Amino acid sequence: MPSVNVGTLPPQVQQRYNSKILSTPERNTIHNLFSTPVRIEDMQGNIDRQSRYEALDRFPVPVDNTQTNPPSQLLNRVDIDCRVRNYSTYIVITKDVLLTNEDPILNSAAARLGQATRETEDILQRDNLESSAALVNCVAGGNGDLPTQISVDDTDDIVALLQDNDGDFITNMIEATDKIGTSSIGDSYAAMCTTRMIPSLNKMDDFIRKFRYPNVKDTLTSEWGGINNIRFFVSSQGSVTPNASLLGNDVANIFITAKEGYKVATRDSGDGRYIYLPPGYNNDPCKLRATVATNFYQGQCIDQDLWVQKLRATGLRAI
Amino acid sequence: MTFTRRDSGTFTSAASAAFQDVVLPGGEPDKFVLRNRTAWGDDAAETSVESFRWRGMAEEAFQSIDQTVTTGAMSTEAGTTNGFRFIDQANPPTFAALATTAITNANPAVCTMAATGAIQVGSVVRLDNTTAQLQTSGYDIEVTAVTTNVDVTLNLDAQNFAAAATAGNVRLIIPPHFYPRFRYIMPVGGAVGITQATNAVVSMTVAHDFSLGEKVSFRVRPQYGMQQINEVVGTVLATSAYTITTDIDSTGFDAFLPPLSADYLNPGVSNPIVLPAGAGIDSTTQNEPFVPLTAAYDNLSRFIMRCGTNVVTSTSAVYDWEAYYSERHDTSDL
Repeated sequence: MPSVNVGTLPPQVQQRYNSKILSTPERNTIHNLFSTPVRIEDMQGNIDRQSRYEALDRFPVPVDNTQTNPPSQLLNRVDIDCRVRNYSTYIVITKDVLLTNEDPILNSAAARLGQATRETEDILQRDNLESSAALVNCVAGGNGDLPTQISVDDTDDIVALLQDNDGDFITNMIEATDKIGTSSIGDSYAAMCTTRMIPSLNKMDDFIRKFRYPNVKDTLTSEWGGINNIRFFVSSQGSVTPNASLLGNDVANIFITAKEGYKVATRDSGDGRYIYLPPGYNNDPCKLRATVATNFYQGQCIDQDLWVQKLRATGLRAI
Repeated sequence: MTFTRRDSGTFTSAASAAFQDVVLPGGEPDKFVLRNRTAWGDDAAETSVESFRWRGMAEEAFQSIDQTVTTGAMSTEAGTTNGFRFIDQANPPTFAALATTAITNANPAVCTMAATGAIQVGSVVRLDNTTAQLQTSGYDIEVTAVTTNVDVTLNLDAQNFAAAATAGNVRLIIPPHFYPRFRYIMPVGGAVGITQATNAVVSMTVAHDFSLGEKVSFRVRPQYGMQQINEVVGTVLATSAYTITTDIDSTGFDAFLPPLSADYLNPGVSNPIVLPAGAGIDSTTQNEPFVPLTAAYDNLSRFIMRCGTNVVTSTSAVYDWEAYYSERHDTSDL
């Protein structure tokens, strides 16, 4: 018997548009967390120069009995230059779309541009660290590759190396409490790595997941855990060099830094901003197109090469 | 705005066959034209006297016009390798590994390869699984010569390596362009890696970014011999494409020598590198010493069109190029 059922309804009738927008994946931004921020005033050039006076030699030889002046020393200065660049992107949206689309698309455009800005700021620092930091291969993991997967011996080697180089810790100790299953965290350097490292981190003996910290009030969402004197922060846009191991596997670049190891430079008028131009601009005499844009200035550099180490490891989660 | 010639320019090709990169600030064009100004109409045979790339064509592909001798007649050609490739240097493409069946322990080292893929002179390749010659695995090395589908010659002096490699992989890579970039220290062209000299000379397998007066630091683990230079900071006194001369006196240091192949897996080593450590005084170019800005940390990533050796076919020739951008690129009828 013929009937009127939902299958006979036109698709437009069957569909209801839900104006609640779904979430867009947003990456953790970790690489500028431990940088030293500096700002360049407007109209003051685009290269930030900071200088470091090198330590003087120690002078354990005593002045002799004739009280002759000992040799003088040179006070050496090293300049660290960092060029700030301008980064921009934009979206063109026709007036037709603005009038037709059911949800306020400019709001979504603003959100996505903001996300892209923050993620770009982050990967600029990531790529700077990948390019210029000293490298140390993990060698104690025993997976038959070079570098090997990460192990506690490798992290301890980095801690000792940074201590040898007189690098200051970034975070203070989290003291033990009487909460069951928790463990104290020592003064720590900060490590930044890809989320593909999570299985390897969890497998390390003595690795303390964040939920086992005695106190998590001073932690970030991006923190995964710590081991001895390193706390690890993860991001899906952490640094990976493809096919760079001895056996051709992907290599994770784990940036481990002491205090004041690297910096991010911005301009006074160069913070990320949202720029909306309504229809009628940009050779648009009939007012058919709006544009939404973002723009920011950033430079990044390593201030002290002894205090930023790139620990390389294999054993990443396969993709 | 319908079809706009947004960017154009001219370059002179290298003195020997090599690809040429053209910077395109506007990103990937819808049409790219490359014309050999020197050969155009010179009554000499010329392959690819004018070449084209259209949006939608495969990477490396090209269409070109060949010029014949004296008659002025032209013919058309289509190619699939070493033509045009658009590259976003901040997000470079990755390439499949190509097998090598042997890498000589000679100067220069030569990789035997049945398929050389898109590797051209000037390309950077990354080696892995180099059986019996693990000194080269994981390293980035420039290519100095290519015999298509026969072998590629590496910018590497492997004569001090104990053995030739009997197998392995060679993979084309597009290196990042953050500046200044660390470089692996390796023997190149008779240089040993780091010389024992009053002014130590450091050699690298990929052209470096270091400039006169710049401070550089070293990471050399004991397995490579010259451990005395580890974490020492020096000043660059002179440069060539693959070497820097420093103010470090290494005459009393141990010799620099990569360890034996087997040592790379057990106990494992960290690659020797030279890395940037700050700007310094350049007193070679002015009466008054000054600290140049050339050592500034910088992001040099660009959008580029790589014009391969099948479209840049003349050496030391003037080429004109044009990049066109269209308002609308319609593929609905494909």
